[in-house]
Amino acid sequence: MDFSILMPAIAFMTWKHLVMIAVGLILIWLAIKKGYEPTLLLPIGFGAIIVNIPFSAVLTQGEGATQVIGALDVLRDAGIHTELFPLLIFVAIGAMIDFSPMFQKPTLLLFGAAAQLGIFITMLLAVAVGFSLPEAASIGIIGAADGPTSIIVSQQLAPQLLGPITVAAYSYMSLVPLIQPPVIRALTTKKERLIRMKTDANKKVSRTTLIFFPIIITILAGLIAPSSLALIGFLMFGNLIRECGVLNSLSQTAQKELANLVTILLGITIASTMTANEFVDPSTLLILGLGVFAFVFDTAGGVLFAKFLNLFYKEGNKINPMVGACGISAFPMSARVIHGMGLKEDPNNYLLMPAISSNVGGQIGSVIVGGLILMLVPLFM
Amino acid sequence: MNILENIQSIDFQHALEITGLGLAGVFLFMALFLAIIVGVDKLFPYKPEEE
Repeated sequence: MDFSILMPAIAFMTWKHLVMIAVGLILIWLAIKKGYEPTLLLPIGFGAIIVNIPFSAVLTQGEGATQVIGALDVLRDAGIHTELFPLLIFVAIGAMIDFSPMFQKPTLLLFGAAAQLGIFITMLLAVAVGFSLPEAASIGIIGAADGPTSIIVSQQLAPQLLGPITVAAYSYMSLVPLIQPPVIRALTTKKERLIRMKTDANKKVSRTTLIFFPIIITILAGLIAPSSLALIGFLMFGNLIRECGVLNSLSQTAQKELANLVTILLGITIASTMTANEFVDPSTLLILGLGVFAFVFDTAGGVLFAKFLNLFYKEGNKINPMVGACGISAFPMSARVIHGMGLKEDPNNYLLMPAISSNVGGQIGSVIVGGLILMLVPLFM
Repeated sequence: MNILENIQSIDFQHALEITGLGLAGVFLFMALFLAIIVGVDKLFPYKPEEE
C-alpha cells in the first residue's frame, strides 16, 4: 500500500511544517524557561504544533459531504472572527484595573497618548516597505503593547496577518524589560533620570468618582468614536463591576475564572492562524522586526513628551522623563521596570506611583488608539 | 521592495494623514479624560466617613 495513504501526516510533512513545529517548541520554551507571558505563549506554542501536523483533526479537513469540522476552526469562528474572546478579556482586564492612581496626578494620563507614537511611525514604516494601508495599521498596533487590541484591529483590517501580529504583540510585551531601558538611557541624561517627582500618594478617591468614571468615559467615547465602543465599553464594564461595590463576586470571577478560561481558549485559537502556509513567509520576519520598532518609538514618544513638558514646568515640579515611557499598555510591567531604573539611579527615588499612573493612562490610550485606527483606516481605503 | 516608490504612493500619503489625525485624536481623548477626572474628582470629593 502507498506510504502516503498509510502515514499521510509523515508523507505530507514539509520543511515549512517542521519550521512551525520548531517555532511552537521555542514559544513553549520561552514560556516555561524564560517566563515570557506563559499564559499566552504556552497555548500558542502548543497550538502551533498541533495545527502544523498535516491533516490535523483540529482544523477542518475535506470539502463538501466528506468535510470534518475542526475544533480550532469552530473556536476561531466563534471567538476571534466575532472578536468575542478579546472583548471578554477586556472585561477581565477592566475588573483588574484600579484607576485611582490616575487621580493622584492626572496630567500623567497624557503619556498614554504620547507613548502611542510608535504605532503611527511603524504604520508609516510598514507602508514604506510595501505593506498595504490596513496591513500597516495592523502591524503598527503591535506597539499598543496590548494583545486584545492587536487582535481586534488585525482581525478587522488584516485577518491574514493575525498570527504573526498576535505572536509579536504578546512576545514583545514580555520583552519590555529588555526593550525600554536602553531606549530611555539613550534619550535621557543622568540628571533627568534623577528627577524626583511630587505625588500625593495619600490622596484618596471617592467611590462615587470611581463609579462615575467608567460610565462617563464609555458614553463620551461612544459619542465621539462609536467604533471604539466595543473596546472601551467592555473594558469599562469590567471596571464598573469592580468599582460598584455590590458585585464583588462577579468582579472576582471576571478577574480570575473568566480571565483564565478565555486566555486558555484565546491562546490556542490564535495558534490556528499559525499554519505553515500562512506563517512561513518573509513578511512574518518583517512584521516581527517592525513590532520592535513600534515598541522602541512608543518608549521614545513617552520620554520625549515628558522632556517637552519639562520645558514648561518649574524646577521642583518637573517630570522624570522615564515615567513617560510607562505610557504603553504593558501593565504593570512597564511601571515596574521604570521604578527599578529609578532606584538604580538613586536608591531613594520612588517612581512607582507616577509610573503606575502613566501606565494606567497607557492602558486607556492603547484602547483609544485601536478604536481610532478602526475608524480612520476604512475612511482611506 | 522599492521604498522610495512606496513613500510616494497614495497609501503613504493616507498613512501620514492617519498619523496626524490619530495622534491628534488620542491626545484630544486623553485631554477630555483628564478634564473628566479633574471634574468628577472635584464634584465628588473623598470624604473620610466613606471608610
